Order: sequence, then C-alpha cells, then structure tokens
Amino acid sequence: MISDCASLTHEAEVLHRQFFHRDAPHKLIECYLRAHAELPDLAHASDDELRTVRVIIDKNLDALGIEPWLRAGPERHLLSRKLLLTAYLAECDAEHREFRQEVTGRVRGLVQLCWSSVRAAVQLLKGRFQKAMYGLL
Amino acid sequence: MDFFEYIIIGSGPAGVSAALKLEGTDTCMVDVGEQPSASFPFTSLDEALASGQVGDVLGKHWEMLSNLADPVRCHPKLRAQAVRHVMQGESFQVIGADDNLLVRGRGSFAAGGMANAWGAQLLRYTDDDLSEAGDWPISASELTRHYTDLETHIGISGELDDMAAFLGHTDNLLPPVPSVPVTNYMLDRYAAKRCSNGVSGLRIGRPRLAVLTRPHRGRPAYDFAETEFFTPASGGIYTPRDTLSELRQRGKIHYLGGHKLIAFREHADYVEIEIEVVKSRQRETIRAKHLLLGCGAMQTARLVLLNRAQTGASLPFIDHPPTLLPVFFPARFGSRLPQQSFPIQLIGTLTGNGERDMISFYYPAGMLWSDLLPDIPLPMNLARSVLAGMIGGMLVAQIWEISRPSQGNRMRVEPDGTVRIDYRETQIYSKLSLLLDALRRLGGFSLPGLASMSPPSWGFHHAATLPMRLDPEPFETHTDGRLWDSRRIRVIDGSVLPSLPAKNHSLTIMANAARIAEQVKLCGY
Repeated sequence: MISDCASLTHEAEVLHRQFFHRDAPHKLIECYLRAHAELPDLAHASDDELRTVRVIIDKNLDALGIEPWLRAGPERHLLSRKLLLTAYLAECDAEHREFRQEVTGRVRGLVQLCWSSVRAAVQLLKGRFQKAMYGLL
Repeated sequence: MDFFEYIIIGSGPAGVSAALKLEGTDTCMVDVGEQPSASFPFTSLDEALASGQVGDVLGKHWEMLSNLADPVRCHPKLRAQAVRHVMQGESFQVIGADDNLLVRGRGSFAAGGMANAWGAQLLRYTDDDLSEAGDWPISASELTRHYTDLETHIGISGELDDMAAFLGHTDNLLPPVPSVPVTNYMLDRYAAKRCSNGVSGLRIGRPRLAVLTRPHRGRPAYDFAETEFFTPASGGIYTPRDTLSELRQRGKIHYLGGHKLIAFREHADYVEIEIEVVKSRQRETIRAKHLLLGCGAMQTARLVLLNRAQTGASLPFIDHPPTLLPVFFPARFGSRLPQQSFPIQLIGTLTGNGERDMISFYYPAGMLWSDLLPDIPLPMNLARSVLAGMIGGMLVAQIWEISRPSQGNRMRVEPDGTVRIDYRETQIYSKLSLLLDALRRLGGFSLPGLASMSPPSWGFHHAATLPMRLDPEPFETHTDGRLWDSRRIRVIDGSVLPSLPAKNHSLTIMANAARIAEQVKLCGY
C-alpha cells in the first residue's frame, strides 16, 4: 500500500509537471490518490496499459505526446484516463488559472493557435517516435 | 379504498400538462418523485471553479468523472451529483446492429421526469412538420389552443425572426436569451448576406426557450450563471416541477409521491390500480374512473406490455440521436468570454433540399474545458492552450432530423422486466456538405470528419411505442389516447406520437396531453 501510494504520488508529479511545467500542488496529489482509491475506471486496466504507463513514468517519456496515439476503440486508454483526471483536478482546484483564462484579442488568439499547432506537431512526432521505440500499446 | 375521477401516472411534461387541464376535478397524481440528494453549492460556474472545492464540483463520489473510461457511459447533462437522481428509474439497454451494447441507461423517477435535464427548447409543430414526418392522425390545429395556453403558462423567450415560419407563431415572446460574441457575429453576417431563402438555404434565428429573461407569473428571471451542466433546470428555466408545485400549493391535485405503478386492471366502471410504496415495497390498491399513463415512451410501453403479459412482443421505437459538429469562427477567436451565457444560442434549418432538419447551435462555455480535451486531436496540454484562444469563436451544431418507425428499431421487455431496444438502423446526416458550405458563407468552418453521431437514445426524444391511429391495432392508441381495446386507460406521453419531425417534441407532448385530458373530461363516462 505504501509503495502504491509512493508510486502514484510520483506518477501524479510527473504527469502534472509535463502538463503544467511546475510542481503539483499537494492538494492535487491528495485528490489524485483518492480518485485512484475510489474510481473503478482507474483500477481496471489491461497488462499492456499498465506497462505503458509504468514505462512512461519510469523513463519520463512524453506522456502528453504519446497519449493521442493511444486514442482508439470505445474505451479510453489508462494513460488518457490519468491525464484527463489530472486535467479535471487542475481545472477545479483554483490554482490552475490557465483553465478558463481565455486569450483575448483576435491576433493573439490566432497566434496562440498557430504556435500551439506547431508545438503540437513536434510533440506528436516525438510521442510517435517514443511509442514505437518502447513498444507502447 | 380511495376512488378518484382521474389518476395520472408520472409528473413529467405530459403528466403535469394533463393535471393542469384537469385542475378542479378529483385528480390524483402517482409519482415516485425522486428529489436531488446533493446540491451544487455555488451561484455560478466561475465561483465554483474559483472555490477550489474539488469535491463540490466533481462530486463527492467523483460523479463528474463517470465518463473517464467510457465517453458515452453517461450523458454529459446527467453526470453531476445534483442531477444524478434524474436517471434512477427502470433500466434499459440499447443493442446495436452487431448485437453490441450501445447504451445502458435508466428511466426517470424524478419529480418532473427527464425534463430536469432538458435543453428547454419548447417548439410548436406545424402542419408542415406533421405532413413531412407522416402518419399523424391529427392536425396541428388541434394542438394550437393548447400550445398557446402552455406558452402563456410557461413563458417562452425568443424572437420573431427568419425562423418564425419554421417555428410557428407565438404571441408574447419574452426577449431572447443573451447572445455571445460569436452568435452576434454569425447573425450580423447572416443579415448582410441573407435573401428570402436564407444563406445557401440555411435560415437561422434565436431559439424559443422555456427560459425566463424577465420574471413571469411569479417565477424569477434566469441568472445565466452557466450552471446547466451541474444542477437540474430550475429557477428561470421552466420544468414540469414548477407546474407540479403550483398545483400542489393551490391544493388542486392529490399528489401521491413515493409510489410507483405496478399493475392496472380495467373494469366496466372503473380502473383498479396497484401501486407500491417505493421505500417499503408495501402495495396498495386505488381506483379511478380513468387512468392516464404519462411515464415516458419507454416506461409506459413497458407497463402496457407487462400488463398484457406480452413481454415477447416488440414495439416500434424512434429517437432523435443528434449529429454533433463543432464549428469554428476564426474572426471571433480571442473574443472576451461573457460572464453570463446560455448554451443554446441559435436555431437553424436547411431549406429547399428535401426534408427539413433542425440545427441548434450550442456555445460550450458552461462545460468544463476538461470535458472537451479528449475530442481535440492534440496533446492535452496544447488542446487546453488551443481552447483558450478558440472557445470564444466556437459553436457546436446539434443537428436533428425527422425520425420514423422502422423494422430495425424496436423495443421489447426482457423476462426480468428490463427494457431492451434493438437499434439496428441509424440515419446518417446527408446534408453535411450543404451545411458546411452555408456556414462557410457565415464565417464558420468545420470538416466532415469532425461530425459525430450521438448514440441512440442519447437525445431522449423517444416516441412511437404506442402510436395513435384512427383505427388502432393491438399496441396502438386511439387519437383520444385510449389503448386500442380500452375505454378508460389512456396514454398521454411521447408513446403516442407516430413519428417525429426534426423539432424537439417536448411542447407537443405537453399540448397533446392537454388535448387528451380535455377529451377525457368530455367523454361522458
């Protein structure tokens, strides 16, 4: 149980840092642990999914770049669920104002869109490469 | 044993509308009447997110995350903890063409029924709608007076604009709900380019909503605080609960809450009804001269099949699973988001290209952004960043089409009493390229690949399980709502609608229930 808790804490820290480029607030980690204890959707996963998440966390691979390549089928991949959980917790914890903080100004909006698209292309390529290299399913 | 003139089962749109028409008579409403077990303790979504109270926003038991693994497990408007009570009734499952389970759901035992989560679009059917959809044994004019009475009772906001011909005439409209910048942009472009037939056949206008933009008959104006995905419709959004509490306050109805209908038996002079106290499972019998069933198309049909011991029989089932299409208006990217908004911003229809559809344009600000991230084919961190620049210039078109009974889509009751719907035929929206072309002219862009179809039963516009006919056969109804072989048992809900025009059917269910209730009063026995 202690090792579960420690590895989940580490997982939350890694995913949060990749998502928001800063350390996860203590409260978010607490909620992340509680959600894993209470939500069946986070408890049931295939061996492939468990291995994929473990490899990504252990080797600090680009979880966000890999995740879109794992979106297939009616059910979401375990990695998608964990990233989505991180997003929901961040959106509701009042410490991540980047959620619901719109970019105002048409030019800024378009520039942000273009810049995000370029970054996305690079991140997706990196994710595709890492997925193939480590045989992530 | 209690004896009433009329017993109505269910407090949804049909039940309360019939009760309103029967006001002043000896009427009893039998209803489970579930109430919310949790509340949303914030006045706006902004306040909720700024509070940092994760449990109050996502739910004490993570209700908002019930779609974490399966995106279609629970309808987005039924996830929040304060709305959970709406879908706790009898269970049903929808089976697809490959015998795969598409949806597992439940009917509603809530006071006010599924309308607690409705979008509040209350629209009239016109004769054009009925003839286009087909098989209606009554004309729209038979509903007109009831539409007018209900609109006065409820209070409808909207505007007499280019959509008036499509939506039908309504007097005394309240001002429309506040429009957001992208809506104003689309309307301005439309006004500049429109001709008598709209823009490339697309007509748009403001929606007709049961949403109060100013106080009406003692009910307050709606606060537009973007909480529609977190609380049952209330306050300035009309639901049948409003009418129910009004009738109860006036002492005009005998309300038997906490009870559900188990069985009914028709005698020459009365109907005997067996009901069960939901908590104790204790059963009792009451009698009435007339029984009016208003439990919804699926549950009323289930009760009738069980009553006739015909669980093997299959009945028609129709639905309105909408096609969803995100539309982007680059000219409004970076718009400052308004503090207040309502999801349904515009309504439209494509004309001159065969059958008319209905398109509702939704503004997604009332949802959590995290709900939208998995639908954007980008890494989630960048999807969030893209959304921040884009959301002010984004609408989601929800496209509804005419729906008719088919051999492939049927409902029946399993031996264990659950409803099974075989949904083997789905309609693919055929006018997507025309719609995309029209939207382009209004500055909106999308791609055919972004269109997705909701699962069957997702739209909650169920109908036609016991369709009304001039000369009904078994498991059909007379035009006055009576079951094919009955004098005293009537169906008043969506079951009796023989086909669905593209428009929402809620107001028509209510008007038709009022029409049937009026006929019961005049039947002379």
